[in-house]
Amino acid sequence: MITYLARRILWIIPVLFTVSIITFFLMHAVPGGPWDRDKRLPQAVQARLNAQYGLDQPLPVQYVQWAGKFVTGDFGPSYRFQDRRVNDIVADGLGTTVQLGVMAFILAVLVGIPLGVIAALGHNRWPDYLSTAISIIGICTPSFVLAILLIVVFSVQLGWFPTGQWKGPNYWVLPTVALAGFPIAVIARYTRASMLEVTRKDYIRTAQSKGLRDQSVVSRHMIRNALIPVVTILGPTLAFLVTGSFVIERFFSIPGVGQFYLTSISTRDYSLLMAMTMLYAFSVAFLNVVVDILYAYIDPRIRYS
Amino acid sequence: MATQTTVVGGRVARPRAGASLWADAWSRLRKNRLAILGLILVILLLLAGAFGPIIAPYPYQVQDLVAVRANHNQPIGPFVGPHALGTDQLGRDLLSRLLDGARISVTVAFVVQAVILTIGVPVGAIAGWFGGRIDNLLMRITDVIYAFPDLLFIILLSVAFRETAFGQALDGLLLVFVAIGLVSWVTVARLVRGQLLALKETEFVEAARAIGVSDRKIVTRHLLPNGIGPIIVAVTLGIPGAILAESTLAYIGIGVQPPRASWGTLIYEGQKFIRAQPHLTLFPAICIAIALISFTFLGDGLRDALDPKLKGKQ
Amino acid sequence: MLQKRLLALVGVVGIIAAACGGSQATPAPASQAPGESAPASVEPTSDLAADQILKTDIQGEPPTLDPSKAQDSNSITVLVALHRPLVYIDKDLKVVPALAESWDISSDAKTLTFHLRDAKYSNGDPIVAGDLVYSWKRLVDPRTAAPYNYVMAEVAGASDLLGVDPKKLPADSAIDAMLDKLGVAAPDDKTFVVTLATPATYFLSVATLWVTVPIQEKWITSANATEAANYVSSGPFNLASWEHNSEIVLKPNPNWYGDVKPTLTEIHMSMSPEPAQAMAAYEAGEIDTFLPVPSEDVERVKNDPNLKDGYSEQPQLSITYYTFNNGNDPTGKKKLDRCAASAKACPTANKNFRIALTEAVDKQAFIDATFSGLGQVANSMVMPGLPGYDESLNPYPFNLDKAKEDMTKALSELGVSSAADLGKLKFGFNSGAGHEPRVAFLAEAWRQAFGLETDQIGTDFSVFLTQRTAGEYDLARDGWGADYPHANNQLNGLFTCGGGNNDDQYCNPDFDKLIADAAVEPDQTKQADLYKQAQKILTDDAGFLPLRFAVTPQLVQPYVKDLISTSLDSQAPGERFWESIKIANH
Repeated sequence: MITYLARRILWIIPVLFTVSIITFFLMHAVPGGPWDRDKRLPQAVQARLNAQYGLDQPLPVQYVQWAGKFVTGDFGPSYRFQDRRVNDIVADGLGTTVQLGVMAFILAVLVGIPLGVIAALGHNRWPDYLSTAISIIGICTPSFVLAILLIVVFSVQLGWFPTGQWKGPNYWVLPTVALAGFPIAVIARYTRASMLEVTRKDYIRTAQSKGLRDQSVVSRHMIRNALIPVVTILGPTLAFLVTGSFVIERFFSIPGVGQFYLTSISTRDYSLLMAMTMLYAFSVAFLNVVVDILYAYIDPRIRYS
Repeated sequence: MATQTTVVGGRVARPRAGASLWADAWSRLRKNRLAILGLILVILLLLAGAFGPIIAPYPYQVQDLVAVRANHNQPIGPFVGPHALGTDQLGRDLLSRLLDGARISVTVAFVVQAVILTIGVPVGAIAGWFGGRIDNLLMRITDVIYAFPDLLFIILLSVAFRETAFGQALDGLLLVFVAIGLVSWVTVARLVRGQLLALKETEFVEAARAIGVSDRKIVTRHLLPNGIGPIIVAVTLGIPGAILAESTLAYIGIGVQPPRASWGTLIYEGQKFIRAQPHLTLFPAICIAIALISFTFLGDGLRDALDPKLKGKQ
Repeated sequence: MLQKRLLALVGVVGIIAAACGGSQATPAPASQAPGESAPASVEPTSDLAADQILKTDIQGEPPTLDPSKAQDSNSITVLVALHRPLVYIDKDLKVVPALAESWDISSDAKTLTFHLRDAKYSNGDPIVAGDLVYSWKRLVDPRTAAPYNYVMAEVAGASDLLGVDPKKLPADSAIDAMLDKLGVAAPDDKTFVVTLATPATYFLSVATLWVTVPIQEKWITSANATEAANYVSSGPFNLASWEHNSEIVLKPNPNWYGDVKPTLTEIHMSMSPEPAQAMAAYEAGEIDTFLPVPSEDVERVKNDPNLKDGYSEQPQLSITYYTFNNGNDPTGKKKLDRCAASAKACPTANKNFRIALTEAVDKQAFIDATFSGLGQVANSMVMPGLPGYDESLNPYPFNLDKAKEDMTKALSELGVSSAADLGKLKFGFNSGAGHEPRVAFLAEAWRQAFGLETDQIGTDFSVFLTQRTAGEYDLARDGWGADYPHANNQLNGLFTCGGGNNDDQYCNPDFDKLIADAAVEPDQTKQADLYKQAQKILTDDAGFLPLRFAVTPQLVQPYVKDLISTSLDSQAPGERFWESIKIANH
């Protein structure tokens, strides 16, 4: 197991490397540049800025320069926020985004799994229908609509929570709920589906016929084995949440890094985009390792050679 | 030759006709009322997609500016006047636009899922079945794709190909399908892999191997149908997901261009009016919900119907 | 998951594109424009609240607070509180003394001598003319790469510096030598002399811009100069704190030399990228002022008893216009091969075609449907209230019959029998900035009138700009916000042959000559007349499609007193005169 773990972690490096190359060349291939404004900058100014940022050099050279700095932990200067370095921008916002993501994840698990279990146990009766209805609403409501509705009801009309920013526990509630809406629905659906799978498995019937009390059958056998597809979904869900829900940070004015993932594309802030991509790639790759470990823990039948 | 009947304990026992998986499944599906409801809704959706523009009361791009002006320059609400579901701020009839949108949304949903399944299932199956280095390699490739800035890739695809025949095909929608499909197949692949990893160690697989059934048959005949539950869920969840994803892409200029609109773009345009005219967001969301419900019920029914454990239970 | 990340883009790109792609921030003298100005009642001092704290929103993080390098509206909004130049504007947008208490202009209009008043920075150092020499040199220095360096173009010696080949930057010593020859001098600490290469009668307007403020060399060259801990200001406020992407807090500068001292003790500027959230924040009482009220909410706000007292509409020096591709590119850098190949591939290059398109648009209906009725119909470029504005210029009013006649003429000139034969014209715009209804309106109007089909192409902002600049669209969305209140800013470079912001590919030498003449004409009346003549040429040519002069709906709580809105406001109400604002008891 240890060697497996070590090998998986080492594999993260070539994955990141590949992602960085593809992203780097892709982002330079897209038309437009960091200096695009509705009121065009004079050509001379653009050329000078390109020289200052090294954009006038051949792409492979630029990549090597970027990579050299990156491995030492220097993410470079921001193209958009010209007085700041990407390191500082990320340092300022990363904690906030991670906190928001983790809280939403916990909420999603605490609400989604029970919702799915209830649905499965009450299959084709009212708990199933209710849970399905909630899931459908959660999936079909885009998060920005959910965000606006929450703000209008709970901030403006009821005044229970602030409309935005991130200054204390009071500010955490609405964004977390808005961010968790979709994952709750997804987790509930997957939990329900895999629970239903598992109820039909032979070993459950064996356990039931042995006369094990329903409750222990449920908790020990069903949940553990039903968790495999759920764990598969948790991995990407968590990675996504952690690197930020762009919509939520935007709609609640939260100073995290999630918003930069998309704005850096449209503003062509190359170094910020690279940093965000690498952050995201690392989270995903790392979490996939965690997920695979969890697989083995949950289902001892899975062996890794 | 007449079938033989035997009388056992007073009841006629009919010998089981050779029941293929699919015939058996169909007969079970028929009995599942929710699944039939789902099937009917799916068919209705397909019909709306096919015949929408013909039954729509107005062409989708015609603007009834006079009516809007009379309404203080605001979109017109539902259930008053000739516009059954109201209009947007340019006076375009919402019902007609929803019907046109049905066409787009349905097409995107089906084609994208087809792309996802075509790539994701085989990749996941191979990774799960063979394990070891092949699994490792394929999973690392999926890691790269997961971590990938899809949007950048999609913007580039669209800018590079927009002027070509490929980009123009199906009103620019083929580009959308390929873009969404190419970046979305990983989830299904990992699901399939997960299922296979668990199932391949079970006894009946060992037994099948012992008998000498080929790998491919084991996977396709036994493992996939058994593990199909979460895959069906993924597909049924993926459909509204694809519809919403398509709306986001249209928002950045890929896919359906104005004046056409899909349900997703209608939601996006409508959210600005959510406080004063919520119907602009509500009705498209209801349409997506109907699509989700129909595919969910149908999907649940299919999963139940295809479950070999239930084979023989009438 | 793709769908969530993509959904996020929906919101995010929209905001960014709105900030960059919309035509915002054009000042317009309030006196001539329609609509109400913001309530500016005077409050007896005894009714002032104990807490003089103003909470407002500036719509996004300023990319920089370095005066020489700033170009975005967010930055400018904060900078006008932190620094004041030699001259400033008053509430009617007339130039008034600021750091300079008086000035002399030589008879040939080429030398301006400013006499500085006694003034200090926030750090206690005196503001000396040498600091102005330094900051003006820094602005044109090619090594600074300041986006607004071109406003210095008329200063003697500036053209050499602005024309330096950026790929072959000369040695530092050579650049310093050129800087020494720049027409700025400080004969003593209280006198600043500017020498112009050509008489530029609008130069005093340029001197009101944020890029011309005095800067201490020792401050701006120190590490992290623009962070709150180190910031040195010369204006009514100083930067107390800057939580990036979250909030800026300003506090009064104790050394502020102006006549109006701030009553406010703090200004909190949040950075809400989503107007719906700012709207909610105002309704929840978290902010006291903000703009713009989303047009979808205007009707609701006007009818809401809690909100309507704070609501007002402020004209802005900003114009929404759409470009016609005129097909004239003297620079040779644009992609217009298809126009050279065949006339009907570029129908907008045909004058009657453009006239027909103009006559088919009901501009008031356009404003009603897509801007909730807010705005003034625009038939020319120079904005209302500025000298050179000519309301009578409207050669092609809305007239469907005449439009069809002119279209018939155009079609026969192009050699086709019907508009449908032209294929689909390319109509470009940047998606996610709310332009879709406007583009749809115009496209549908032309379709109804002529059967003309357009391909509405909405793309990412940068891609859109690149393609529009290259001349790849037949029709495109555009706009302009005035940098300073003068007609030159709205015509030069936008419609002059080969101009940097000329995306209409419009080129008429007569127009260029009038613009050049007006720039050096010292007599104000004659100058205004020259601009009117130039615009007549432009509008007779139907070189572009002007649609709307902006009017911004804004919300200001009734207890915010003495707030002075101007048509230069772009991010927050009253942003040019933060020092006048007071908070009444409430």
